[in-house]
Amino acid sequence: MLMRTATTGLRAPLADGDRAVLARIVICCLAATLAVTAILSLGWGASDASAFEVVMHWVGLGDGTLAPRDRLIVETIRLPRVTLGGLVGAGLAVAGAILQGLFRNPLADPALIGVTAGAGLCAVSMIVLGGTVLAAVAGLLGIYALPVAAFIGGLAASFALYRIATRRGQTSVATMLLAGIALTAFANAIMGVLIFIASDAQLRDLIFWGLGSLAGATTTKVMATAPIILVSLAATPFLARSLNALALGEAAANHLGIPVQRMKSVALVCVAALTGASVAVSGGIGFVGIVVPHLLRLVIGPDHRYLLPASALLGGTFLIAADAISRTVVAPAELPIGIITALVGAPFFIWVLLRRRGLIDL
Amino acid sequence: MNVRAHDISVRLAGRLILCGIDFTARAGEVTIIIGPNGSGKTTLMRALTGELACSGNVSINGRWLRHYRHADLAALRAVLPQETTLAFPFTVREIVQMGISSASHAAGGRRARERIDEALSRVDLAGFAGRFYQELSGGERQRVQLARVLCQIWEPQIAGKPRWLFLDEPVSSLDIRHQIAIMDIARDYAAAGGGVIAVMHDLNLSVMYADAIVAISGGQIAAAGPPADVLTEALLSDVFGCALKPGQTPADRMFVLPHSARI
Repeated sequence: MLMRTATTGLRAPLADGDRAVLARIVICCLAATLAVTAILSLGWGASDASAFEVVMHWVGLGDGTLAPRDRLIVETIRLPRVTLGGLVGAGLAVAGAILQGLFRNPLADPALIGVTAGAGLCAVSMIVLGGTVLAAVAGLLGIYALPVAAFIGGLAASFALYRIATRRGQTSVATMLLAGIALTAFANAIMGVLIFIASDAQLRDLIFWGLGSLAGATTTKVMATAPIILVSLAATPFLARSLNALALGEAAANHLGIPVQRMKSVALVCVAALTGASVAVSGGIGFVGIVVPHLLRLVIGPDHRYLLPASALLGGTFLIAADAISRTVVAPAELPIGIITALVGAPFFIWVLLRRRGLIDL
Repeated sequence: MNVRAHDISVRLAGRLILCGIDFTARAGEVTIIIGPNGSGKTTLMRALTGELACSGNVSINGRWLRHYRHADLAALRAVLPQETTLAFPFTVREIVQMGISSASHAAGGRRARERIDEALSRVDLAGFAGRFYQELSGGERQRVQLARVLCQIWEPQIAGKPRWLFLDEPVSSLDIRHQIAIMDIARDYAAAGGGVIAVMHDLNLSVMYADAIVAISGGQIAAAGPPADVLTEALLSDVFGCALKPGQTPADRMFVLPHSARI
């Protein structure tokens, strides 16, 4: 009975149960929204630089009156920041959607279950030890050192969590969330040790990074992150059908011809890459991975063939918008973007919990 | 063409659940596995479908199970689980569609839609496509899953080779009318050249629909063959641990015979 009240109420039965057309329309709208948000955000900031003239200049329609100052501000400060916001938002939202499909649970999120902390630990290690113990690795990887380190940390955390929380294809929500808390606490403890031994310059880097902010966005950071996130996003369509089948349970997915074990490994690598690359450049930005896929499931349903691309688009839009707010609401100072996503996300998470109280077995 | 089990043994948590099972299910027949609770019926089913690692071998259509690729096996046999719960709000159509898109010859949009509607009306759920799976009753969910499984291996034969329907207690949560309807589907599937292997609890339904019955007790086969040979008083009493007389009305008891039902 609880189950019924939990799932009805919001949705009436659909005419014929086919949401593919609706999903395609929503995806087109989301793509348009992302483009508009990005362009608006380019023009929004502490200075009055006009993005319109810069964009006109890019497409060759400029009238020659473009001020060099405006161009500098838009191209070297706002553009990397908006791009990074889009990439990180897309990465975190899709990582959340994949994790939820994998754990068969809408409450999984990279930040909640310790993947972000694992990635963060390795990123901090790279910042603090990159000049000494890990110098060889840092030199070899160049600008990719931080994202790759975060990827490895995220991967280790996701596999550890999966092994702990899942037995015979069944994931216990309680174990998953509690193991996430333990993993996060453990990672934070080691991070504390690292911060203790960090030099003053490194400390500044760490604090900046730890606040969860896109403020440090540079073209170099975009170049370091974009390939990892884009390649992972490009791989996700191949996971969509498997994640759908997995909703029926691991055995049923196997019977439907899905190579479940292999697919789970690929999915976890994708999640770690998306989370790791995002964490490396922006610190821990929470709740994007829960809020975005959940909202979309209410509108277009849980079919991952549409949910994954839609999550990427809405996640990007959400973070670009949140970042625009974060850098203007207390201008000329900046609010860390993690604060805004948490302000939106934490109450949302509670709401999801309450709605599903009858469904989950905590 | 058949499904054969060669000397299957399964050990779970140190306990021997199945011990040296040998049996053959032929295409064109409904083979029903019966036995008391804990006798290893479901374990045998999971071994036959490759869900569970076991010692011994299983072959389908003359080829070892482990030599099939995932997708080839999925095009050859489908499995109806006892119960399926979902974490996400899929509609009935979306669930049934998973059976179609997994088939190797993925049907195009319009044909797929028609196939889904046809499968749903076959399990007496016409008009349910737009409902949310999580809001259905247990019996309705079971029939949605059957529609999905049917879509996966729609034609009972492909290139002259039989396809196989594995049903794990397909009618346990259904009312009598739908029990009959579902078992009719199974019988039709076998009659058209496919193979059906089902685990059942209801002995009357088993007698009605089985071409062959395999009785399991304590992880071993107690008897296998045509219903009339297997369901003897001695064997039933021995396997189920209580006195059972096939074909005799118990005195002073009211009972309902599915044999009399017609839809």
